[in-house]
Amino acid sequence: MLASMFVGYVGLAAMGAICLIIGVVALLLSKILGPRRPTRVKQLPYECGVELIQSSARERYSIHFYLVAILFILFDLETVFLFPWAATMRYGVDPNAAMLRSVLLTEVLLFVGVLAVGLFYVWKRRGLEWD
Amino acid sequence: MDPLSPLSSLSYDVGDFLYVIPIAIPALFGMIVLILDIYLGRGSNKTPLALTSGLGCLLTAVAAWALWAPATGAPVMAGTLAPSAFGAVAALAILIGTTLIGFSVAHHSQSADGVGVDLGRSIAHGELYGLLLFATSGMLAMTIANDMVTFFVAIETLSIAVYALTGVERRRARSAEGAMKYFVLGAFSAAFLLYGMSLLYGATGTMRLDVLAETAIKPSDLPMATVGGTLILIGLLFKVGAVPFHAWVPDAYEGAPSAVTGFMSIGVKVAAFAGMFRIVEGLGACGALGADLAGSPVGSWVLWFVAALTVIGGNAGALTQRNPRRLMAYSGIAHTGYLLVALVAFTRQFGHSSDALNMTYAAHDAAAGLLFYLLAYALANAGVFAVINHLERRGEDVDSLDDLAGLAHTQPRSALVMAVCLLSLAGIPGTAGFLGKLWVFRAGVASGDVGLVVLALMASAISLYYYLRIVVIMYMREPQAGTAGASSEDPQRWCSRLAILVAGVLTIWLGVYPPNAILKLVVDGAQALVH
Amino acid sequence: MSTFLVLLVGALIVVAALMTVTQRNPIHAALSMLIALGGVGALMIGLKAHFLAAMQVLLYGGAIMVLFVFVIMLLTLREDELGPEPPSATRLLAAVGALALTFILFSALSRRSDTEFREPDNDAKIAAAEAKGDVRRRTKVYYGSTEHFARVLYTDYAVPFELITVLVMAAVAGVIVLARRPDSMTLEATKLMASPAASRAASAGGGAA
Repeated sequence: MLASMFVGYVGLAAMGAICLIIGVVALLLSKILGPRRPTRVKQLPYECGVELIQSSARERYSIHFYLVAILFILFDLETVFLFPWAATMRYGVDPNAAMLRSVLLTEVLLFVGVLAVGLFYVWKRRGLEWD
Repeated sequence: MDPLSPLSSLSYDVGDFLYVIPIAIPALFGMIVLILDIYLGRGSNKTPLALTSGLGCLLTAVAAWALWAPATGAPVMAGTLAPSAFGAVAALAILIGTTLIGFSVAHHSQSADGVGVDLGRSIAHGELYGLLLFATSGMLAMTIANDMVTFFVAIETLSIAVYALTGVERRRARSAEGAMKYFVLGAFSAAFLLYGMSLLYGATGTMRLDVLAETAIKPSDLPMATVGGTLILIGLLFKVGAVPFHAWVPDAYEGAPSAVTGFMSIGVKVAAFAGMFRIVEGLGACGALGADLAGSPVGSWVLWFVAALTVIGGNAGALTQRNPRRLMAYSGIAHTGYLLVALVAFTRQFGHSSDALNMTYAAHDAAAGLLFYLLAYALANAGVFAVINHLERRGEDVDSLDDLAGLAHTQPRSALVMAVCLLSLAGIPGTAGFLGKLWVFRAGVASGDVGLVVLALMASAISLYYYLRIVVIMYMREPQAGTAGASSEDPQRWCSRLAILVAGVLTIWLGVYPPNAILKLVVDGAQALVH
Repeated sequence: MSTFLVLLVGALIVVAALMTVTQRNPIHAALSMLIALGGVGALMIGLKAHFLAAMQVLLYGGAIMVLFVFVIMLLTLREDELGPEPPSATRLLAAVGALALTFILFSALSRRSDTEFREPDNDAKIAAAEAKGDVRRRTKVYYGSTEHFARVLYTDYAVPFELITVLVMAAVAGVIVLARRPDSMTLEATKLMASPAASRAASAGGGAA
């Protein structure tokens, strides 16, 4: 059993290794070959072209980030449960089993419906706004 | 399972969905209440929320009585649920808590001068009722859950809702502190529970409790099953607040708003005890409670010690408390102890002692006693907290027993119900609490745990001191100006007065002349658990 | 070869888990935990539990990790705020407790024979069906596969599946009530408190708060 555990993943591992090598080589090459003429402006941290917002990253952030993060996780978790449903409905369920198919559909509709009510509630409670 | 053919039929009868209705109604009403609160607007009268959730609870109670009570406890829905009268009685106790507590806070956001905004307390009412109902849904699922996945999802549903409820008054530091402590320790205990469940699954290959009860575990798997069972019991003993796992109880009860404390003390305890009996039934029958020691499994001796510690610890802790919520926290721990006596009596049947038949009778008595006790406890606690909620308006906290001084002069009816409910908690004859205790202790005697019962009796004698002290403060002392006890009745608050009235009347009714329908339901419930 | 991989990943997980509890810098601890979570995901792939592996990476490696990092960001404890090192007696006790738990679990697990509960390997059947060109039968429902998981989840476990929505609704309402900034209800209150008359009323009514 153990012997066959990872056999299908040799290609994936090879790709990972190649990515790693390319990344390291590219960085090393630019470090060795590239000319270096540092100026004060060039050495500033790069924040997507915007000027530096705060001098230290070690400051307390608003609790609002947390609200957004936890709402994201809740809805993320709900969506994950839809993947296996989608994966199995096409070929895994007998197309003639009308009762079974309607129960499965109802189940997921109910699931998504409650999710929608939750979203509506969060929206109305202004949980999605940044003010 | 044929790997190649597509799935072609359901693994259960579609009609089984009927049994889900009592779980679905509170969830549905929870959502309705959340949305309704948005449209009611801020600072408006929140009575419609209380009425809506009350209606939801009423429908749920009817559905549970009609659908669960006739069921035999046979597994339905592919084995995830096992509805029976046992679940129906536990559901009634839980719904008593949700309804009465919900009603008693109906007017909390209204101030007397009509400004409409409660400055002292910023409880979000929609969320309060919504979370109460979501938690109720999880609790009901827990009482009839027949496999450990359902059980865990249910216990997490109620836990998450109650963690949030504890911190609902988030502008108060103590509320946040209580919620934080409860949450961290609760998450820890959930990990114990989950780990135990996975070990038990590894040892037995089943998640279903009914299958577990019929599984003969091989000796080589027994250590794994025993460790799993132990971890599950630790997780559940935490939820009911048994002593060595009780540290969170006083802080969470004190920090939470009184409304939430009342709900926690009823719903969480009832659901956790109902679930614990069901799980222990599976554990004991498959031998995961350990080898026999003097005629009963090692597990029941461990529970014996936990019960003794809890009875002593709860009552000793309550003696010195001045804050009503902390006092009720320790009182709740003490009641956990009495209920653990029933659990000990229940586990004696799993040993191989000489008088197996007697042990089965004792187990039957223990299950029936548990159910009746839970009803009585739910009513009494609902009464006490309904009175406290009724007094706590416009941000006047009842934070000290002295705040209740002279209540009998200013609000005689509230004081009377409070006294009745406290006497019921103490187990005075004529109240429901007396019959509950009698039943539980009789089971303890029948199973041979006379020592434990004597200890519990002595402890309840001690408990009279702190329960009667409140009665004395209410009746013998003069009201102090500026306290909750000094303010007179507010005729507008009919919702909370109704809740108080119902709790008082039912406590007396169950104690003096318990209706046959209830007794039959209780006995049927025990029958479903002990065959 | 694969046994070697399992051992390698297992060792990585253990080292990362140890670093999670020993690192003093919370960010380093969180990153070590990320490695441990990823390693567990790799083991799940090895056991052909692809859906679980995906969940592990998406939810634990992604979402839960975000929460950890956010908590660290929200608190940003400086070195002097981390508090004193726990006394060595406490650490010793913790180590003894951890070792005892390891021993109990090890002895519980090691006495098991691991031949049961293994579903018959259906790979051969599936390969035969594919060789015959049976296109319709593309689902590989071996034990623990995504399809198998789906079959169990949506039929046998329909009740807990729907109950999860209640759990998430409770969590959503809890998040809003706990983490949402004081909304206009409290803003109204603040406005009222700004006026002298109302502030007196507020201090009378809200003194206990």
